[in-house]
Amino acid sequence: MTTNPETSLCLQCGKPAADQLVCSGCGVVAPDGSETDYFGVFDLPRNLTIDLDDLERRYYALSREFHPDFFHDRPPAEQAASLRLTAIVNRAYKTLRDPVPRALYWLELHGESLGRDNGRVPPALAARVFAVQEQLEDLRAARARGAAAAERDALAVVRDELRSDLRAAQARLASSFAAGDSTSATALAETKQLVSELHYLRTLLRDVEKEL
Amino acid sequence: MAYSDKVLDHYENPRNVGSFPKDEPGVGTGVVGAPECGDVMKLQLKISNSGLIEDAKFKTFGCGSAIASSSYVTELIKGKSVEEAYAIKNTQIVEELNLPPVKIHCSVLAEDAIKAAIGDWRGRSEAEGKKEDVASSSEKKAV
Repeated sequence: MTTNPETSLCLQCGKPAADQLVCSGCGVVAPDGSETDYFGVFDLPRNLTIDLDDLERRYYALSREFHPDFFHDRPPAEQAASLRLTAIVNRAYKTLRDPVPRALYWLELHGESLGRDNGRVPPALAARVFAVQEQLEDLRAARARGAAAAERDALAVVRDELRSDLRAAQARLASSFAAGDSTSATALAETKQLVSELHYLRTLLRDVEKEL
Repeated sequence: MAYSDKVLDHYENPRNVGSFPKDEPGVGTGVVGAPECGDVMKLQLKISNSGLIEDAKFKTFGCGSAIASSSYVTELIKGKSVEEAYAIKNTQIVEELNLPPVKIHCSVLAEDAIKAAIGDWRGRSEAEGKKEDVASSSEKKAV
């Protein structure tokens, strides 16, 4: 894990030792981890492919190490560090355990973000979103009239299709992870495309499930 | 998160919801989406031969801020020239609607929708122009 060089001195021994979570000089918890790379928190390479059981083991180990309960009799600066590091470890775990946030984070580390891609929603996907959303409007209108059975049945079919497409997209993301961790422009673009598609499908499915 | 009064007003009474037939002459359609949240927005402009935006309609499926941003844009854009509309910046939408930082991407989406709709209109009018050229030149040949 990297830290801000200006604040990465160990509080205890004063050595510039805080590029790890625990100072190698004196074994005290590092004072600062503001510039944290979530992969580095768990001492993992920046790979999209992660062994989830291994990640969980590392997470539990770190959680125990920094648990604020173990710091109640330590100096205030160390207590504060334990709280902050616990928060970082939790955030890092949450981000890395779910493939979609992990992929987003991984893209960010490589200077890519989905936010710059507004114009590039795939036309077929956009058309699908509009079609399904209009079906939802029809369902709400039918409900207001008091007879919505046909609309609801139609949407249940849509929901099942969305669920299976979402599963397929997740599987494609997983297999693109497994295919290697290339950071070539093509690989980055492909990952971006897949994560975007997952977000559109997730949002749409969430809206459908809310109405059914 | 609390929405501003203006966002609530646009959300509860959205202006200019609807659509024009995509193939109608002078209509430009922009469909954009926000891949981080899955919101989608369709903005359609009806543009006169002299390049004036005569009417605008939108359909947005997304959060309150996305709906308000597109609703506000349809009001803002009517009566403007294509060039003026193209120059609209998302910051103008942020200021008008008091959007918080986490919702700035909604205003970007609306700005992108304007650009996409104008781009579509430009592409179609060029294609129309070519068709007319072809038509007139073949007429000449026929004569």
